[in-house]
Amino acid sequence: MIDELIRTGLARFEYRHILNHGPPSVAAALATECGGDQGRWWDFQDHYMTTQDFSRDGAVALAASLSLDTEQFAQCLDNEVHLELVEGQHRAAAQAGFNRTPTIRINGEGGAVNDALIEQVQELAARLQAEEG
Amino acid sequence: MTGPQTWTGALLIALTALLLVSCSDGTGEEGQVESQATTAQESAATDQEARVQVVRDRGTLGDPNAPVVIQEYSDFL
Repeated sequence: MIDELIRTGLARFEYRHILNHGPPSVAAALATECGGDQGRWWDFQDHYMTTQDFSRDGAVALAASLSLDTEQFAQCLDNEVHLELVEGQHRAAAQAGFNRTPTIRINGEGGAVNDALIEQVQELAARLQAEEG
Repeated sequence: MTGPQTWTGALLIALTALLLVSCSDGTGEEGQVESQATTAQESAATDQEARVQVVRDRGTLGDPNAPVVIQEYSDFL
């Protein structure tokens, strides 16, 4: 359903990092952002969601398989170039009280994924579509 | 007598050729109208696509101007 909202231009999706599981969370977030530097953020997200391999070697191997500049990618990882970004997102989420994952916010409102949230999205989509029609 | 017949024949051939060309490549009036209508449809489709930008960027997906923003706070574990 969210895909449909995005495809029709009704909604935009934004991901925010939460680092609830320590070093593996940080490693995955940093590698994903380093992949994003070379336009492959979503490939890293897919990789982590499917493999749960949070090793440095795994990230570099993925970068190589995507034909990225592996030297640049490795430097990005080793220098923790995006640490401030991912920690900042985590802090902001924590300050807002979002300590459960995933937490979904729709136009700034919402909470954990449940039937009420899905109903809220459906109602919002229907209202927006009615306004457009 | 051969002069006027030759001119008439040449004129007929020229007119026939012009007619054939205009019918075959759609540059006649009908063809132009059809071509303009097709162009207008293509333009409308392009405009529609332009309004719905499914931009896939770092951690974001969808039209930057979409009225609804869905934010997911999560990690990959």
